[in-house]
Amino acid sequence: MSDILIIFRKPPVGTSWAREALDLALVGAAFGQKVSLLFMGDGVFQLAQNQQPDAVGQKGTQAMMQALSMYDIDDIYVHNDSLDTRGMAADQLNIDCQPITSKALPGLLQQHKQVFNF
Amino acid sequence: MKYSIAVYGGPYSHQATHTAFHFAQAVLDKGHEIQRVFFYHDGIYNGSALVAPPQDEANLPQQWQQLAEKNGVELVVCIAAAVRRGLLDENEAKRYSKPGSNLEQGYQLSGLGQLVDAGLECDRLVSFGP
Amino acid sequence: MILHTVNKSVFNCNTLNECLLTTARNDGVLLLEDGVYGALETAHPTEIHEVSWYVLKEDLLARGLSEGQCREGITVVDYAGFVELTEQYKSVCSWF
Repeated sequence: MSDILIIFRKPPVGTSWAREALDLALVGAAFGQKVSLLFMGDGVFQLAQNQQPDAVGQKGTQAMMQALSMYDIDDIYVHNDSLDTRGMAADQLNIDCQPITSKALPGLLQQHKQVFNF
Repeated sequence: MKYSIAVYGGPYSHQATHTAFHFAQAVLDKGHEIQRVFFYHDGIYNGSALVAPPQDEANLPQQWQQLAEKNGVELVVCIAAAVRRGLLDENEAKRYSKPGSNLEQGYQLSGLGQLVDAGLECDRLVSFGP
Repeated sequence: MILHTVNKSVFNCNTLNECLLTTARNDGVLLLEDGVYGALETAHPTEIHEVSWYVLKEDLLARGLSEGQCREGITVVDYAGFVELTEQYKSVCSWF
Protein backbone atom coordinates (compact mmCIF):
# COMPACT_ATOMS: atom_id res chain seq x y z
CA MET A 1 0.00 0.00 0.00
CA SER A 2 1.44 3.34 -1.03
CA ASP A 3 1.31 6.37 1.18
CA ILE A 4 0.39 9.06 -1.30
CA LEU A 5 -1.69 9.12 -4.48
CA ILE A 6 -1.53 12.22 -6.64
CA ILE A 7 -4.28 12.62 -9.25
CA PHE A 8 -3.50 14.71 -12.34
CA ARG A 9 -6.68 16.03 -14.00
CA LYS A 10 -5.61 19.25 -15.71
CA PRO A 11 -4.04 19.57 -19.16
CA PRO A 12 -0.43 20.78 -19.44
CA VAL A 13 0.76 24.25 -20.49
CA GLY A 14 -2.43 26.28 -19.86
CA THR A 15 -1.94 26.41 -16.09
CA SER A 16 0.83 25.62 -13.62
CA TRP A 17 -1.07 22.67 -12.11
CA ALA A 18 0.92 20.01 -13.97
CA ARG A 19 4.21 21.39 -12.75
CA GLU A 20 3.04 22.05 -9.20
CA ALA A 21 1.52 18.57 -8.87
CA LEU A 22 4.74 17.00 -10.17
CA ASP A 23 6.74 19.09 -7.70
CA LEU A 24 4.65 17.59 -4.91
CA ALA A 25 5.23 14.07 -6.26
CA LEU A 26 9.01 14.54 -6.33
CA VAL A 27 9.10 16.12 -2.87
CA GLY A 28 6.91 13.34 -1.46
CA ALA A 29 9.30 10.75 -2.86
CA ALA A 30 12.33 12.69 -1.61
CA PHE A 31 10.71 12.52 1.85
CA GLY A 32 10.82 8.75 1.61
CA GLN A 33 7.15 8.27 0.85
CA LYS A 34 5.83 5.73 -1.63
CA VAL A 35 4.10 7.90 -4.22
CA SER A 36 1.65 6.72 -6.91
CA LEU A 37 0.31 8.85 -9.74
CA LEU A 38 -3.01 8.69 -11.57
CA PHE A 39 -3.65 10.57 -14.81
CA MET A 40 -7.34 10.96 -15.65
CA GLY A 41 -9.64 13.39 -17.43
CA ASP A 42 -7.71 16.11 -19.26
CA GLY A 43 -4.71 15.12 -17.15
CA VAL A 44 -3.95 12.43 -19.74
CA PHE A 45 -2.93 15.23 -22.13
CA GLN A 46 0.13 15.65 -19.89
CA LEU A 47 1.24 12.28 -21.28
CA ALA A 48 1.19 13.35 -24.93
CA GLN A 49 4.38 12.86 -26.91
CA ASN A 50 6.15 15.64 -28.81
CA GLN A 51 5.06 18.49 -26.54
CA GLN A 52 6.93 21.67 -27.46
CA PRO A 53 6.16 24.08 -24.62
CA ASP A 54 9.03 26.32 -25.74
CA ALA A 55 6.80 27.30 -28.67
CA VAL A 56 4.84 29.36 -26.12
CA GLY A 57 7.85 30.34 -24.04
CA GLN A 58 7.46 27.68 -21.36
CA LYS A 59 9.83 25.16 -19.86
CA GLY A 60 7.21 22.42 -19.66
CA THR A 61 7.20 19.36 -17.45
CA GLN A 62 8.84 16.77 -19.68
CA ALA A 63 12.16 16.81 -17.80
CA MET A 64 10.33 16.27 -14.51
CA MET A 65 8.30 13.43 -16.01
CA GLN A 66 11.48 11.72 -17.11
CA ALA A 67 12.90 12.12 -13.59
CA LEU A 68 10.04 10.21 -11.93
CA SER A 69 11.76 6.84 -12.19
CA MET A 70 14.92 8.25 -10.56
CA TYR A 71 12.73 9.08 -7.56
CA ASP A 72 11.37 5.52 -7.55
CA ILE A 73 7.94 6.68 -8.64
CA ASP A 74 6.96 3.67 -10.71
CA ASP A 75 3.29 3.19 -9.91
CA ILE A 76 1.91 5.45 -12.62
CA TYR A 77 -1.65 4.80 -13.73
CA VAL A 78 -3.59 6.20 -16.63
CA HIS A 79 -7.38 5.95 -16.86
CA ASN A 80 -8.07 4.10 -20.11
CA ASP A 81 -11.53 5.59 -20.75
CA SER A 82 -10.03 9.10 -20.46
CA LEU A 83 -7.46 8.12 -23.11
CA ASP A 84 -10.15 6.61 -25.38
CA THR A 85 -12.36 9.68 -25.15
CA ARG A 86 -9.44 11.86 -26.21
CA GLY A 87 -8.25 9.64 -29.05
CA MET A 88 -5.02 8.65 -27.32
CA ALA A 89 -3.41 5.24 -27.01
CA ALA A 90 -1.70 3.82 -23.93
CA ASP A 91 1.30 2.68 -25.98
CA GLN A 92 1.95 6.16 -27.37
CA LEU A 93 2.60 8.14 -24.20
CA ASN A 94 5.70 10.02 -23.07
CA ILE A 95 6.27 7.79 -20.01
CA ASP A 96 5.41 4.20 -19.12
CA CYS A 97 1.99 3.98 -17.49
CA GLN A 98 -0.29 1.16 -16.42
CA PRO A 99 -3.77 1.53 -17.91
CA ILE A 100 -6.49 1.36 -15.28
CA THR A 101 -10.20 0.74 -15.85
CA SER A 102 -13.01 2.83 -14.39
CA LYS A 103 -13.98 -0.18 -12.31
CA ALA A 104 -10.58 -0.21 -10.58
CA LEU A 105 -10.47 3.51 -9.75
CA PRO A 106 -12.36 3.37 -6.42
CA GLY A 107 -10.03 0.64 -5.17
CA LEU A 108 -6.97 2.67 -6.14
CA LEU A 109 -8.10 5.64 -4.05
CA GLN A 110 -8.99 3.47 -1.06
CA GLN A 111 -5.49 1.95 -1.09
CA HIS A 112 -3.79 5.24 -0.26
CA LYS A 113 -3.56 7.03 3.06
CA GLN A 114 -3.53 10.45 1.44
CA VAL A 115 -4.92 11.54 -1.93
CA PHE A 116 -3.86 14.84 -3.48
CA ASN A 117 -6.05 15.86 -6.38
CA PHE A 118 -5.01 18.51 -8.90
CA MET B 1 -8.20 15.20 16.24
CA LYS B 2 -5.27 16.95 14.62
CA TYR B 3 -6.09 18.73 11.34
CA SER B 4 -4.14 20.53 8.67
CA ILE B 5 -5.61 22.63 5.89
CA ALA B 6 -4.26 23.29 2.39
CA VAL B 7 -5.37 26.38 0.44
CA TYR B 8 -4.74 26.49 -3.32
CA GLY B 9 -7.09 29.30 -4.35
CA GLY B 10 -6.14 32.96 -4.39
CA PRO B 11 -7.95 35.36 -2.04
CA TYR B 12 -10.43 37.75 -3.67
CA SER B 13 -10.46 35.59 -6.85
CA HIS B 14 -11.90 32.31 -5.61
CA GLN B 15 -14.11 31.29 -2.71
CA ALA B 16 -11.52 28.75 -1.56
CA THR B 17 -9.96 31.04 1.04
CA HIS B 18 -13.34 31.94 2.58
CA THR B 19 -14.42 28.31 2.67
CA ALA B 20 -11.12 27.20 4.19
CA PHE B 21 -11.32 29.92 6.82
CA HIS B 22 -14.90 29.06 7.84
CA PHE B 23 -13.97 25.40 7.95
CA ALA B 24 -10.93 26.18 10.12
CA GLN B 25 -13.09 28.10 12.58
CA ALA B 26 -15.60 25.24 12.73
CA VAL B 27 -12.78 22.74 13.32
CA LEU B 28 -11.50 24.81 16.26
CA ASP B 29 -15.05 25.32 17.61
CA LYS B 30 -15.35 21.52 17.80
CA GLY B 31 -12.30 21.42 20.03
CA HIS B 32 -9.92 19.98 17.45
CA GLU B 33 -6.36 21.13 16.88
CA ILE B 34 -5.12 22.67 13.63
CA GLN B 35 -1.43 22.09 13.22
CA ARG B 36 -0.82 23.95 9.99
CA VAL B 37 -2.41 25.86 7.14
CA PHE B 38 -0.35 25.34 3.99
CA PHE B 39 -0.69 27.79 1.09
CA TYR B 40 0.18 26.57 -2.41
CA HIS B 41 -0.52 27.59 -6.03
CA ASP B 42 -2.34 30.99 -5.99
CA GLY B 43 -3.21 30.39 -2.35
CA ILE B 44 0.18 31.91 -1.54
CA TYR B 45 -1.30 35.40 -2.03
CA ASN B 46 -2.99 34.89 1.35
CA GLY B 47 0.43 35.65 2.81
CA SER B 48 0.77 39.10 1.28
CA ALA B 49 1.21 41.98 3.70
CA LEU B 50 0.27 44.37 0.90
CA VAL B 51 -3.32 43.21 0.58
CA ALA B 52 -5.54 46.29 0.95
CA PRO B 53 -9.22 45.42 0.50
CA PRO B 54 -12.00 48.03 0.78
CA GLN B 55 -13.09 48.85 4.37
CA ASP B 56 -16.21 46.70 4.19
CA GLU B 57 -14.41 43.57 2.99
CA ALA B 58 -12.48 41.11 5.12
CA ASN B 59 -8.69 41.33 5.22
CA LEU B 60 -8.09 37.64 4.67
CA PRO B 61 -4.34 37.57 5.42
CA GLN B 62 -4.99 39.30 8.73
CA GLN B 63 -7.90 36.98 9.55
CA TRP B 64 -5.63 33.98 9.15
CA GLN B 65 -2.96 35.68 11.19
CA GLN B 66 -5.37 36.33 14.09
CA LEU B 67 -6.75 32.81 13.96
CA ALA B 68 -3.22 31.40 13.93
CA GLU B 69 -1.97 33.53 16.78
CA LYS B 70 -4.94 32.72 18.98
CA ASN B 71 -4.86 28.98 18.36
CA GLY B 72 -1.20 28.16 17.79
CA VAL B 73 -1.60 27.32 14.10
CA GLU B 74 1.39 27.43 11.72
CA LEU B 75 0.83 29.46 8.53
CA VAL B 76 3.21 28.03 5.97
CA VAL B 77 3.57 29.35 2.43
CA CYS B 78 5.29 27.21 -0.23
CA ILE B 79 8.54 29.00 -0.91
CA ALA B 80 8.88 27.96 -4.56
CA ALA B 81 5.30 28.95 -5.39
CA ALA B 82 5.68 32.22 -3.46
CA VAL B 83 8.99 33.45 -4.83
CA ARG B 84 7.84 32.83 -8.42
CA ARG B 85 4.73 34.94 -7.78
CA GLY B 86 6.53 37.79 -6.04
CA LEU B 87 5.85 37.00 -2.40
CA LEU B 88 9.13 37.33 -0.49
CA ASP B 89 10.32 37.36 3.09
CA GLU B 90 13.39 39.41 4.04
CA ASN B 91 15.84 36.60 3.30
CA GLU B 92 14.46 35.95 -0.17
CA ALA B 93 14.26 39.68 -0.96
CA LYS B 94 17.95 39.92 -0.11
CA ARG B 95 18.83 36.77 -2.04
CA TYR B 96 17.17 38.03 -5.21
CA SER B 97 18.18 41.68 -4.65
CA LYS B 98 14.58 42.90 -4.56
CA PRO B 99 13.61 46.33 -3.22
CA GLY B 100 11.42 44.97 -0.42
CA SER B 101 9.78 42.01 1.23
CA ASN B 102 6.01 41.54 1.55
CA LEU B 103 5.32 38.42 3.61
CA GLU B 104 2.72 39.16 6.30
CA GLN B 105 3.79 38.70 9.92
CA GLY B 106 2.97 35.31 11.35
CA TYR B 107 3.52 33.52 8.03
CA GLN B 108 6.65 31.58 7.11
CA LEU B 109 8.06 30.47 3.76
CA SER B 110 9.01 26.80 3.67
CA GLY B 111 9.21 23.84 1.34
CA LEU B 112 6.51 21.57 -0.06
CA GLY B 113 7.74 18.94 2.36
CA GLN B 114 5.59 20.72 4.95
CA LEU B 115 2.50 19.76 2.94
CA VAL B 116 3.65 16.14 2.66
CA ASP B 117 4.39 16.15 6.37
CA ALA B 118 0.94 17.57 7.19
CA GLY B 119 -0.67 14.73 5.26
CA LEU B 120 1.32 12.16 7.19
CA GLU B 121 1.35 13.64 10.68
CA CYS B 122 -2.24 14.85 10.95
CA ASP B 123 -5.41 12.81 11.32
CA ARG B 124 -6.99 14.86 8.55
CA LEU B 125 -5.68 17.06 5.76
CA VAL B 126 -8.44 19.01 4.02
CA SER B 127 -7.68 20.93 0.80
CA PHE B 128 -9.50 23.90 -0.72
CA GLY B 129 -8.89 24.58 -4.40
CA PRO B 130 -9.85 27.43 -6.71
CA MET C 1 -14.54 5.63 3.50
CA ILE C 2 -13.45 8.83 1.75
CA LEU C 3 -15.29 12.14 1.88
CA HIS C 4 -15.08 13.83 -1.53
CA THR C 5 -15.74 17.55 -1.78
CA VAL C 6 -16.74 19.07 -5.13
CA ASN C 7 -16.79 22.84 -5.73
CA LYS C 8 -17.73 23.09 -9.43
CA SER C 9 -21.17 23.27 -11.01
CA VAL C 10 -22.19 20.01 -12.68
CA PHE C 11 -23.85 22.05 -15.45
CA ASN C 12 -20.63 23.36 -16.96
CA CYS C 13 -17.89 21.19 -15.58
CA ASN C 14 -17.06 17.50 -15.57
CA THR C 15 -15.52 17.65 -12.08
CA LEU C 16 -18.42 15.98 -10.27
CA ASN C 17 -18.67 13.18 -12.82
CA GLU C 18 -14.91 12.58 -12.63
CA CYS C 19 -15.22 12.41 -8.87
CA LEU C 20 -18.03 9.87 -9.13
CA LEU C 21 -15.83 7.61 -11.27
CA THR C 22 -13.59 7.16 -8.25
CA THR C 23 -16.10 6.86 -5.42
CA ALA C 24 -16.67 3.59 -3.61
CA ARG C 25 -19.90 2.46 -1.99
CA ASN C 26 -19.08 3.78 1.49
CA ASP C 27 -17.83 7.16 0.32
CA GLY C 28 -19.55 10.49 0.78
CA VAL C 29 -19.81 13.43 -1.60
CA LEU C 30 -20.14 16.92 -0.17
CA LEU C 31 -21.18 19.62 -2.64
CA LEU C 32 -19.87 23.07 -1.73
CA GLU C 33 -19.25 26.48 -3.33
CA ASP C 34 -20.48 26.29 -6.96
CA GLY C 35 -20.71 22.53 -6.49
CA VAL C 36 -24.06 23.05 -4.71
CA TYR C 37 -25.77 23.47 -8.11
CA GLY C 38 -25.27 19.72 -8.45
CA ALA C 39 -27.82 19.27 -5.65
CA LEU C 40 -30.67 20.71 -7.76
CA GLU C 41 -33.43 18.39 -8.84
CA THR C 42 -32.59 18.91 -12.50
CA ALA C 43 -28.96 17.86 -12.01
CA HIS C 44 -28.32 14.27 -12.98
CA PRO C 45 -24.78 13.33 -12.04
CA THR C 46 -23.63 9.89 -13.21
CA GLU C 47 -23.52 7.93 -9.99
CA ILE C 48 -21.87 4.56 -10.54
CA HIS C 49 -21.65 3.36 -6.96
CA GLU C 50 -24.20 4.47 -4.42
CA VAL C 51 -22.71 7.21 -2.23
CA SER C 52 -24.00 9.39 0.58
CA TRP C 53 -24.79 12.91 -0.62
CA TYR C 54 -24.33 16.12 1.35
CA VAL C 55 -24.61 19.79 0.45
CA LEU C 56 -23.25 22.78 2.37
CA LYS C 57 -26.08 24.94 3.68
CA GLU C 58 -24.18 28.25 3.72
CA ASP C 59 -23.33 27.88 0.03
CA LEU C 60 -26.98 27.17 -0.84
CA LEU C 61 -28.12 30.29 1.05
CA ALA C 62 -25.42 32.47 -0.52
CA ARG C 63 -26.72 31.49 -3.97
CA GLY C 64 -30.41 32.00 -3.25
CA LEU C 65 -31.14 28.29 -3.18
CA SER C 66 -33.31 26.55 -0.61
CA GLU C 67 -33.24 23.05 0.80
CA GLY C 68 -36.57 22.44 -0.92
CA GLN C 69 -34.92 22.80 -4.32
CA CYS C 70 -32.49 19.96 -3.60
CA ARG C 71 -32.84 16.42 -4.88
CA GLU C 72 -34.29 13.88 -2.49
CA GLY C 73 -31.72 11.97 -0.50
CA ILE C 74 -29.27 14.84 -0.09
CA THR C 75 -28.44 15.81 3.48
CA VAL C 76 -27.97 19.52 4.12
CA VAL C 77 -25.09 20.24 6.53
CA ASP C 78 -23.65 23.47 7.93
CA TYR C 79 -19.95 24.06 8.63
CA ALA C 80 -20.19 22.21 11.96
CA GLY C 81 -21.73 19.31 10.03
CA PHE C 82 -18.90 19.54 7.47
CA VAL C 83 -16.39 19.08 10.30
CA GLU C 84 -18.39 16.12 11.65
CA LEU C 85 -18.24 14.49 8.21
CA THR C 86 -14.46 14.87 8.16
CA GLU C 87 -14.36 13.14 11.56
CA GLN C 88 -16.58 10.33 10.35
CA TYR C 89 -14.82 9.59 7.04
CA LYS C 90 -11.20 8.40 7.10
CA SER C 91 -9.83 10.98 4.67
CA VAL C 92 -10.93 13.87 2.52
CA CYS C 93 -10.34 14.23 -1.23
CA SER C 94 -11.08 17.64 -2.79
CA TRP C 95 -12.20 17.99 -6.39
CA PHE C 96 -11.86 21.43 -7.97
